[in-house]
This record gives sequence, C-alpha cells and structure tokens, in this order.
Amino acid sequence: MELPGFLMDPIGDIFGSIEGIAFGIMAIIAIGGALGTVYSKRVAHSMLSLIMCFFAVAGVFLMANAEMLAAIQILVYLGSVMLVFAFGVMLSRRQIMEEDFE
Amino acid sequence: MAEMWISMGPQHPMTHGLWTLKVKVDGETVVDTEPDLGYIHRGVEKICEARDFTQITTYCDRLCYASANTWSHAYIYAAEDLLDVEVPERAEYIRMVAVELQRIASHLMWLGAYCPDVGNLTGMVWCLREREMMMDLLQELGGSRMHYNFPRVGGVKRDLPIGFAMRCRAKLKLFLDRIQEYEALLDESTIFLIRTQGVGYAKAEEMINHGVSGPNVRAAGHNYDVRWAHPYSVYDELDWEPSVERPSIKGSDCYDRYRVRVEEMRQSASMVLEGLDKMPGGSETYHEPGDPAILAKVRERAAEGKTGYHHFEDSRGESMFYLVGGGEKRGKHPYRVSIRSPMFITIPYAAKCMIGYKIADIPAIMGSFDPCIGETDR
Amino acid sequence: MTEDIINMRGWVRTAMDFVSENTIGMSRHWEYTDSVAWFLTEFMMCVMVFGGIMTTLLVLLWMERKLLGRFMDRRGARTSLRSLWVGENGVTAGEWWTQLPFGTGIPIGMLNKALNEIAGNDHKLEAVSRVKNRSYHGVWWLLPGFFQNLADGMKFLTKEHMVPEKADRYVFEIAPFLIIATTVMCFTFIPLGPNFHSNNSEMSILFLMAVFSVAPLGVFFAGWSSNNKYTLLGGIRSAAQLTAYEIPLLVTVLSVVVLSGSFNLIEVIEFQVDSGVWNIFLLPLGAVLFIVVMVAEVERIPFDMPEAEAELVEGWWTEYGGMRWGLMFASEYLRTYAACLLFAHFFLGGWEAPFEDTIPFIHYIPHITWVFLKAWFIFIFFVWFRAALHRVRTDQILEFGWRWLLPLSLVNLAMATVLRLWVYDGVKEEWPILVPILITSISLALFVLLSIDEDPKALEAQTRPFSVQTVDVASPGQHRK
Repeated sequence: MELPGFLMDPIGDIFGSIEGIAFGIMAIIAIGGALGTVYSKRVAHSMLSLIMCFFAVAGVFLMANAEMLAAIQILVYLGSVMLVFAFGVMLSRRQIMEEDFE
Repeated sequence: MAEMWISMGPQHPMTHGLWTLKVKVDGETVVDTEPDLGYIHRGVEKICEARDFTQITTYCDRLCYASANTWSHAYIYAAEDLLDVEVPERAEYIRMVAVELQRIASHLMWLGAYCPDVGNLTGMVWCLREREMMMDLLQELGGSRMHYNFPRVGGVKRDLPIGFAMRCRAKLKLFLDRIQEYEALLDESTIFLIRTQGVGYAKAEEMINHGVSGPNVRAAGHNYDVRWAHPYSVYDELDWEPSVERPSIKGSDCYDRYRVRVEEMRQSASMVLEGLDKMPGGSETYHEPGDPAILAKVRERAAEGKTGYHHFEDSRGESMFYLVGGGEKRGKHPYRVSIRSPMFITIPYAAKCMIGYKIADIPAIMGSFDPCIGETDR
Repeated sequence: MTEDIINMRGWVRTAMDFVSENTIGMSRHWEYTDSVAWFLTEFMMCVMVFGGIMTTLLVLLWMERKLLGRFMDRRGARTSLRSLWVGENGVTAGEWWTQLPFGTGIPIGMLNKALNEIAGNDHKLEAVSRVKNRSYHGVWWLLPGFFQNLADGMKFLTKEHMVPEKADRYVFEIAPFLIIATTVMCFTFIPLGPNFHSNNSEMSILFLMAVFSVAPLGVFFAGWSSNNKYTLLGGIRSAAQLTAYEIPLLVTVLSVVVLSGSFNLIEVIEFQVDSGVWNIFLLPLGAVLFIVVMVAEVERIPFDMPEAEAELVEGWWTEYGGMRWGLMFASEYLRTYAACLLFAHFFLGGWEAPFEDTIPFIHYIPHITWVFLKAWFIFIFFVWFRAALHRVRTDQILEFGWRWLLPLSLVNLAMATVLRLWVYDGVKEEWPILVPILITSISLALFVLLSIDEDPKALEAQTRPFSVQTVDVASPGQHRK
C-alpha cells in the first residue's frame, strides 16, 4: 500500500513544503479575518478582524518576495487607514459604550 | 462623539482633596460642570459648641491641613473680640510671623500641587523642599509639624525660641533666592505659559458677586486684602502693600493667579523679616510661656448673647468666625460658632469658570483657585 | 562592513553549522543542512538581540529614576555625585548582604564597610541627614537601585489579572498583545553592532517604521475596550497624536534615507562610517525634529497627553493591571529605547567610535559599546525634557505637529535632497569637509539665537505672547497702588 508522502517522509515533506504550509496559514488567517470583518456583531471586533486580515495579506506579500509592498501594506493600511476607520466609526456613533452614564 | 458625563472624583488627581467634579464633555470640550461637595464634613461648628475657648483652637487648626495656623488665628481673633481681650503687642508680632510663615508654606503647597496639574513633577519636589524649611520654622514655634495649636486667647503659646530669628532670617533669605528658581522653571517655560495664559478667565465683578475673595480676586485686579482694607493685628504698622494683578478685560487667567501667589510669598517673607526687626522687646529675647509679655490674662466665660466676630485674610481668601457667648448656662462654651470658608464659595465659581475649555484645562483652572476641601466641608 | 572584534554572527554560524552537520547532516535529509544552520543562526541572533535589549532596558529604567531624582532634588552636582558612593558613618542603606545564605554576603559587607570608612561621610546626625538628603548611602559599583526593576517585575507577575466586568473581554485581552508584539518586533530591524544584528533586510527602515506605527491601533483598542471614559479619551488622544506625529517622523526618516541612499539601516550606518561624517552634522534640523517627534511618539512628557495623570488618571491603561500593565509599561520604555537606538544609528554614526580613525587602539573596544552608550546618552535628553517641561494640551500638541513639525520636516527633506544631489562627492564617496563644519556652526548659532527667547519689546510692553487676549494686558504686580 502506498502511504501519503507526508507519512513516508515527514521531515523531508515539511522542509519541502514549508512555504506552502506558511501560505496556507496566511491564507486561512486572511480569509478568517475577512469573514470576521463581515460577520462580527460589534464594530471593534470587525475592525480587529480586518487588522488580522491585513497582517496576513502583508505576510502573503512577503512570501511573494514583494517586501516593499508588505511594508507599505502594514504602514499605510494598518497604521493609518485603520486608525482613520477607527476614528470614523467610533466618533460617529451615538452610543459608544455599553451603557451611557445616567 | 456624543456628550457624556465624566465623574472626576472623589479620588482623582485633579481634586486636591475629597470631592467630586462631574464634568459634561463634548469630545474634549467641557460643556457643563457640577461640583459635589461634602465628603469630609465633620461638623466642626457643632463640635465647637461643646468645647471651651482654648479647646476650639485645635479644631480650627484642622480645618485646613495646608494652612493650619491661619485658621486657628482667625478663630483666636474672633474669640478675643468676644472676650474683650487686650493682646500684648509682642504676641501680635509673633502671631504675624507665624501666620505669614504659614501663608508661605500654604502657597508653596499650592504651587507644588499646581506643577503636577500642568504636568511637571520637578516643581512639586522643589516646592515641597522649600516648604520643609517653613515647616521647620513653624515646628520650632508650635512644636508640631502640621497642626500647631499655636495661638492662645490673649496671646501665644510660646515666645520665639532662642535663635529663631537668626534661623528664620537665613532661611527666608535662601527662600527669596529660590523663588527665582521657580520663576525660571515656570515663567520662562513656554509650555507653562501656553498652558496658563488665556485659560480660565474669571472676572472681578463676577467673583465679587459670588463672594470669592483672597488671592483669586486680587488676581482679577480688585484690591481687596483684609489685612490692608481692615487692618487688624500689626499689619498697619508694617510697610507693605497687597499684591494685585492687572488683568485683561476678559478677567484674570491662571497665570494671573499664579503670579499673585508668587508675589504674595515674596511679600510675606519680607513682612516676616520686617516684623522680626520691629518686634517690641527684640526678636532675640525669650519669655517663659505664660509671661504677661506674650499672654494676657483672660476671662474664661463669655456673657450671654454677646457676639464676637472677625474676618481674617486666610491663605485662600477671607475667612470669618462668628461666635456667640453662652453665658452661665453654657459654662465656658460658646453658644454658637459659625465659620465662613472662602473655598466653599470659590469652588462652585471655579467649576463654572472652566466651561468652554478643554478637559486638559480642568486641573489647570481648578488648581489655580487653590482648593482646600478640609475647610470647604468643615 | 566595519571591522569588529566581536564577530557574533560568524561565531554563531560556525557553531550552528557544527550542530547542523552533526545532526541533520548525518541523516538522509542531508540536503537541508544549510537551511537548518541558517534557521538556527537567525533564531539565535534574534534571541541574543532581544536578550541584549531586554537586559539593557533595565539601564534605562534605572537611569530615569536616578536622573530624575538628581534633577528634581537638585542639591548641587557635588553633593549629588558624592551621595552616589558615600555612606554615612560606615552605614549604608539596606544591608542586603546579610540576607544572603551561608554567609556569602559577609565579604561584600566587609568591603562596603571598609570603603565607607575610607571615603565615608562622618556626619553625626546620620538619621536626620539620611531623611533629609534621601540619597543612596552605599558604594556606586553596587548600582544602587538597579535591581529594583526585577523586584517590580516580580510584583507585576504575582498580581492578579483583572478584567473589568463590562469591558469587551476579547479586545481587552488582544490589545496588549498588539502593542507589545509590535514593539518587540521593532528590534528585529535594529542592529546592535556590525556583526550583531538579527536581520539585514534591504527594506529594514521601512519595515521598522511600519511595525512602529501599529502600536497606536493597540492603544486605541485598549482604550476603547476598557469601557471607561478616561481610557476612551486617552485612547482617542493617543491615536490622534500618534497619527499626527507619524507623518513628520516618516518624512524625517526619509531625509536620512535620502542622504544615505539606502533603506537598509546597516547601510545607513556604513555610509556614515565610510564618509567620515555623522548625519547630525549634516542634518541638525532633522536630528532635532526626530527627537521631538520621537518624544511624542513614545508619549513622554511634554507630549504625554494620552496618559495625562492630572486629568485622565492614567489614560488608556487605567484599567490594566498585573503583568499586562507591566509589559505595556515595558513596551513604552522599549519604544523609547528604540527611539534612542534609532537616533544613534541615524544621526550619531551608529557603532562608529568617536574619532575612530585618529585615536589609536580604539577599535579594540567592541562596537556594541558605542551603540549602547550613544543610546543612553540620548535617553538623558528624554529624562531632561521630562524634568524640565510641562504637559502640552491636546489641541496645542496637534497644532504644533501639523503647523510646525510637518513643514519643518519637509524643509529638512529638501535640505537632505540638495546635500545628496549636489554636495555629496560621489566619486570619492565623501563629503567636502567644509560642508559639515559650516552647517554645524550655522545651526549652533541659530540655536543660541533662538534660545534667547526673551523679547525685550514684549517685556517692555508687558504683553503676553501666548494669550489670546488683545484689548488689555496684564502685568505681574504692576497695578499696585
């Protein structure tokens, strides 16, 4: 019986496909983050998910040897755009906290 | 952002005591304020009705922990008015020295608290260091560091200790030098100026209508100092003038109130130095406690219905005591003691004063009025 | 690359090659030997750099405490310095060596006693003077108060981790990780020596700035999730301030990059080493901007609006406690440390010793020494600002950032461009020697002129430069009758 490759030669398989595994993790995080952005009940949670998604996308860029793009992704999208989002969302809602001071 | 109420206090660095300032903010701007006082009400006035005239002094000491001597002296003058006491002039000079040293210590405490309010701890440590000198001098006089119980009805507890005048002169000379260091740290710092100038305008007319007094109203250009307007004790024999700021037409800002207190510290120091020189009998002589030169003979009981009254220039404003004698029925106790505290009147005004400024200005404005909650809640 | 007697990377690589060859090289996966050695080397270097940073972080905390004490007590330089090593009557504060087991502390105590008998203070009222002076009464080489940080750390570790009942637990727990992780990540890109760095990426400055700019998000979420009005205000202030100061920071860093012609931090340092001129002599304005912006970025006085303890009790970290608070506090200092190290690398020639070419045998001192010494020297300025300045108001911070720092940083960028394009001698790869001298002397003269800020006319007219009032002016004590 022919065993799958990763059972026949586990160490070699891991070394051989480490990029693939890393990409898989990144992709799952990115997709999970995107889903979380859409389906979270609270705005802050969906923003956090979006941050996670952006981080994962930056990781994917890094793996594609696009270092500049990854840095810009973190610098611009995470550092600035997300903060502007945060301001926009937090400051425009009437009720910020769970319950207001009576 | 929606408007919201923030409750600053009862334990908050801004409060300088135990009270609550409820602030309604719109973003960073203060929209409305509401002071909430009464956390440390001790019922001093009622307690005093069951104490004799000497015992009350200790309670008056504890009205304000930062300025104990001024409060006990404020009471003593009212009690002497009630009991018709003629105080020896040497005792009056010693009282003046004690009160002015206490005023310096109190203003230093204020400045020391005000520096962290606008974000600098160095000023606080420096001020407390100089306050320590004043505390040492007051400790020589009263025997304790905080609540001195120094004055007696008819005089003072003790004469100036031997060598006090020498040490006092040396320390005040050093202190007058050190004030210049504060000014170098504060007045020459652009950040301190932008934090205090043009912030917390208070108009003299409004303050007078509210009943605010003391350095706060002098900072707004109104020359009213009880020591100057209605001289008691030996203040009319000394060569001095109240320090008054000339404010803008918008009123006095935090910087005015800072300046007026620094000037007052200088002035108090020079008054003490002058008083030591002019003291009858010389400041180096020493009388035993109870000597007629420093303590007059007094009656212990006040007639029924007779009232004693005195208003006194406290470190924070005009404090008043109103005493009613109880006659034979009440023994040695007064029938009624009523206290007018300057900060009880100033704090609500100061709270209204900060509307329209930023949250960061709240401590700057509130601190500049020098709140003391011990006397406010009594 | 600069020659250095510590070839840490080479040594680690040799050791890891040996390890790798004797483990995986013996197996049938021998073709991965190089990769594994590479991986282990990078890992070990990361550990060593982080370990070095974390250990020397204690120096920063210690310096801050000691320097602030000196600044604030201010009993004169001689007394202060003397109190560092002199005890009184042979008694030193806290004879901790008596607590050591099996009498191992006895020699320490004897040595301390002997030293204090030789150079001690024979004040008769030692208790009084100890209370009043509040100075350390020991020997300087025991580093008085240095291990207080470890005690603090232990205290944080043993404290309970509390989450407010109505806090958003998920975000509340994640926010510190966001802050701490990104802060520690900064040090991946900061070299400590020519052969002492965890990574030599071509884009290291860009990555560094990118990672550095993520922490405001964590701060914002920390402030929001605590469900407390003070933290909310602190978080919003922090986000606004850090966003406003990010742009001048990036532009200033860009000017250094333009001047040195590389996004690689190590190449920026090597550029300064090779051309023989540190960047501070070419871009003094940039250095000033960088340190001002960095003070704002790491939220220290005078720009510590987000955690202003006078009005917002401790700002965005009011609700945190225990080790989370301790780590966030450490990450504040790590950011400060990163700022100091970056200043040393960008403007003070990194690991190059001062007058390295002229002083003989100076290259035998490991270059990592200079990096740390320069960073600590810059930290003295941070503490000095804290001791001397007050806190600026929110609107004033933002106004200062947008109206002054941003245009100035653009001017600085233009200066850097001009210097690089038309002044730099690309053939000989060095600066014309007159240029740094001229720039430095002109900026020093400007600094002196600008620091004389007393306006005689304003003093004469008793005006108030920083007040909005125009109609009538106040004057100290002028209105006396």
